[in-house]
Formats: sequence, C-alpha cells, structure tokens
Amino acid sequence: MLELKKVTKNFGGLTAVNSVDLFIEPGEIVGLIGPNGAGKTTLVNCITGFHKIDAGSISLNGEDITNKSVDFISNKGIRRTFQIEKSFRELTVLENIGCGLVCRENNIEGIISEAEEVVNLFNLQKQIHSKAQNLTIQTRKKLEFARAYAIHPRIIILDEVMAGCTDHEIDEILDIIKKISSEKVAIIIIEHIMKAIMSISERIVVLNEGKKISEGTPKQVCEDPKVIEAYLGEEMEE
Amino acid sequence: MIKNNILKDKKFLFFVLFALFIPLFVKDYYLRIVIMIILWGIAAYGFDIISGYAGQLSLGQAAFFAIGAYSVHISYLSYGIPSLVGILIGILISAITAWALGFAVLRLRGPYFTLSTLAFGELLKTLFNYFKGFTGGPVGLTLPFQKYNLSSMQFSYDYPYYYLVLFMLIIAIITNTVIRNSAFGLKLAAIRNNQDSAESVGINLMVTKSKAFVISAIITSLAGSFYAIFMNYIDPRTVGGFNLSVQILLIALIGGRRTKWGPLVGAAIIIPMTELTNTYFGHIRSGLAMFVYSIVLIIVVLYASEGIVNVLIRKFSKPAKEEI
Repeated sequence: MLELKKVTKNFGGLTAVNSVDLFIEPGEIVGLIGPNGAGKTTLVNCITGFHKIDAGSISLNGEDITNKSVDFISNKGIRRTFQIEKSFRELTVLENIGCGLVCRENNIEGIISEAEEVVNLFNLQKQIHSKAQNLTIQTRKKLEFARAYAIHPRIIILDEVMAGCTDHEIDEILDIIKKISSEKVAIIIIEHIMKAIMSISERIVVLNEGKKISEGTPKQVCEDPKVIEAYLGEEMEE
Repeated sequence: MIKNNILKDKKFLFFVLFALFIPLFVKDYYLRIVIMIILWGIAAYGFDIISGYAGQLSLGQAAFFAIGAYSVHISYLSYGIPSLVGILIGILISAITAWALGFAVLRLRGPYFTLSTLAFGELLKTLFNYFKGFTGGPVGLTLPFQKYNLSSMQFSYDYPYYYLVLFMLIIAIITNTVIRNSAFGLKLAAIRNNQDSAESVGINLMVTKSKAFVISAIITSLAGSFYAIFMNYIDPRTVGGFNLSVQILLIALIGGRRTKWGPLVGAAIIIPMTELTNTYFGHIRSGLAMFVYSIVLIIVVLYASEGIVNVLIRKFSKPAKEEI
C-alpha cells in the first residue's frame, strides 16, 4: 500500500534520512525504532509532507504522493501524531476529534455523532467536554491519536504516543491499536518503550544515522548484531 | 460546539424586534450615536472573522473600510453610479483585494502576517493621498446632494440610515453565527489553535484562511461604504490608516472576541466613551480626552482582558464540569 523507494532527506551537509526503502501493508503494525537522532521523526515528516524529500519517491496504492502538500497527503488517508503533542488547546476533546473529521464531513451534526463514537473507542467519555489544555500530557497524546484515527485513515503514524505513560495506560493504548489494526488501518509506531513496541509490532524497522540497518520480526531484530551495535556500541575486544 | 439555529434564537429575535423600535425613543444626536455604534460594531464583526475565529491578527482592516468608502464616492463622482451600486462595487473590490493580498501574506504566520497587513493598510492610505485626480487626495471627497431615494442612499431623516445600518448589522451577526456553528468554523478554530495540526488533519490552510479573509473584508467594506454614505465626506485620514485599524481591533477586543454580541458591546462602550471624553475633556486641554480614553482602556484590559462579553459569560454560566 504505502511504498517508499530510496527516500533521502538532507539538511545542509547532514543526511538525516538516507535512501530508505519501506513497504507497508493494510492493517499491518510496524515498529520504527532507532537511537536518538536516527531520523525516525524526519522520516515521518517526509511521508506526511512536512519535509520535502531530496531524492526517492513515495507512493500510496500506486499513486505518487512524493512532495505533495500536507493536507493533500492527510486527505489521502495518512494521518499522524506529533512527538511534541499539538492538540487544539482551547477546544474540547469532542471538538478536537471533530477537527479530525472536518475535511471529510460537512454537516456539523454528522461530525459530532462520528466524533462521539471515536470518544467511546478511546475511553475519553469522562473528559469529552474538557478543554485539551486542561488534560494531562498523556491524555493529550491519546487525544491526538483519536483525532488522527477519526476518519478511519489507511495509515496512522504514532510518534512516541506512549512516552510517559503508566503500564496501565500503555496497555490501554495497545488494546486500541490492536482494535484499530483489525479494521485494516495500518499503524506505524515510533516508540522508545521496548516492551510495548516488541509486543505489538508484527514487523520492526531499525534506523541508525538515517539508514535502515535492519528489518524483520521483533525476535530477528533483537538478535541482529547490527542493531545491538547501534544501541550499545561495538563489543570490546579483549 | 453547536448550540442553536440563529432563526430559532429567541434572544436574537428579541434584539431585532427591540432594535426596530429604537428610532421611536432615540432621536437626533443620540440616534446618530447609535448609528455610529452599529457601524463600528459591523467593522468589528468583520475583524472578528479573520482575527477572532481564524486567529490571524489583521491590522489592515482599515484598507477594506477605505475601499468600501471610496468605492461609493468614486463610483458616483467619476462614473455617476448610484451609491447603492457603489456599495456592491466596494464589496467586489474588497473581496478581490483580500483574496490577492491573502495569497501573498496568509502564508506568513503570527506577527509577520500582522505586520504585512499593517503595511498594506498604510500603503493604501498613501495611494489614496497620492492619486488626487481620482480620490481628491488629502482634501477628500464630498458627495453632492442627488435625490432623496434608496438608490442614492440619501435621506432627509436619520432613521432610514438607522434601518440600513441595522440591516447590515443583522447580516454581520448572522454571518458570524453561521460561521461559528459550521464545519468551516471548526476548521478556523483548528487553524487558530495550531496550524501544523490543522494541516495534518487535512485542512488546506491557504484556502481556508483566504475564505475567512475575504468574508472579513466584505463585512468591513460594508461598514466603510455605509460610513461614506452617512458622513458624506471622506478623506484618507478618517477612513484609512493605522488608527482606524486599531480602533476596530479595540472594539472587538474589549467587547469579547468570538462571541455573538462582543463586537457590538465593544462598540457600545468605545464609541460613546470617545464622544463623552471629547465633550467633557476635549476643551480643557488638547489631548486630555485621549488621556482619559486611554485610562479607561487600560482598566478594561487589566480587569477584562478576554473581553466584557466573555467575562460575563464566565460569571453567569454554570461552570462546566471538567475532568482531567
């Protein structure tokens, strides 16, 4: 469905994403991991149109979406959350989710009833009329996830949505992710919480210094010496 | 998010009914004050669309006010077009100007947008001063007496003007209410809160902001046209420039942005206050009126910074239960 071919992004002399290939199937859960500065968020920005890529191509269901505008790509069905959450602070939870629907639905009553369903799925009923600025960061991240999901997109990219969550909250989000992926919505997760990402991902892609260094099932990736080296450094020679 | 259909809104219908009878009780000088209140209220409703709902602070609203005003005068003086048509010409030119200006400056965010609109307002004022043959330059333009009728928009009493401006006000309030309760309003709210996020949920920033800017310009232009018709005399200083943009901004801020009554309440405070300070302090020392005016403004900003209507709504509505 989503296909990246040799995607490259330079910032001046620094190559943040270097010739990355990636293929995502409908309903797949893919983990994207790598040490700090590996280029994970930059890759997300390239896919969603926030960055223009310097080389390579991105296509969705055969349609070229390379360097298209952010709103165009979003309306094609690729939605994301932000690492530093960007919820609509002055708006209520319901309105935030409504904003996720506003480009697909014109009728405000329709928007509200659909948004209410999403609220139920994400267990936000208690906070439904609270403004986003009064929520905890973790709830705001969940809200962003809900907003991204509202239109039932083809792909949701979660950028560290579980950071700072308690075990209970992590379990809750993992449950939601499983539910959503059964609706053929593909999910790309960037996360540093290994326990969570290893348990939920069907496939894991490892980036280091902008390059894809490993790809496979969680088990394969964990045993890959290149991955261990990227995270922990080379083995000492004695 | 959504509350009511404007036609089912009893308070609004009551207001309209009440407003229809105002000329029975309020006459002459006081009726002219009421007309000025409504006039500036309309301009503030226009400002509220781009700067309140869409959150893009425009300090160039004077440009659209001036376009509306000059369209009426130039249409008649240079081409013999009646004022009623002049208003429509003003709307058309303002809309096109806002669209073209928006295309250039709406991609800028925050203060950069504000400064560009400010520059545009000043630029237009300078142009009106420069093209003397067309605009009369700094001397301004005066509409001669034509005929008492609707197409010339000249009447022998004040009350037809009152109903005309009231009609425009109702258009402005309905426009704002419809926007607030629509999907378009939700898009504007998203843009106001976070443009990156708004884009990421598929909102085309340029198109949405442009629409808001054009609607805002049209309403402001209506106010400008009416000002020109009502005052008969316009010059670049009174219908354009920074001071006028700031006055519109203050009215909206003090009344309360993004509320149904805020801009009108703001005008109902600022306009009589200007008159009163001018009457009672104007002759004592020059500048004293402005001094008193400023002090009142400072007090309002200190104690009701979100606008009077918003403060009242917060005081008198039941506090919503919020859970975190």
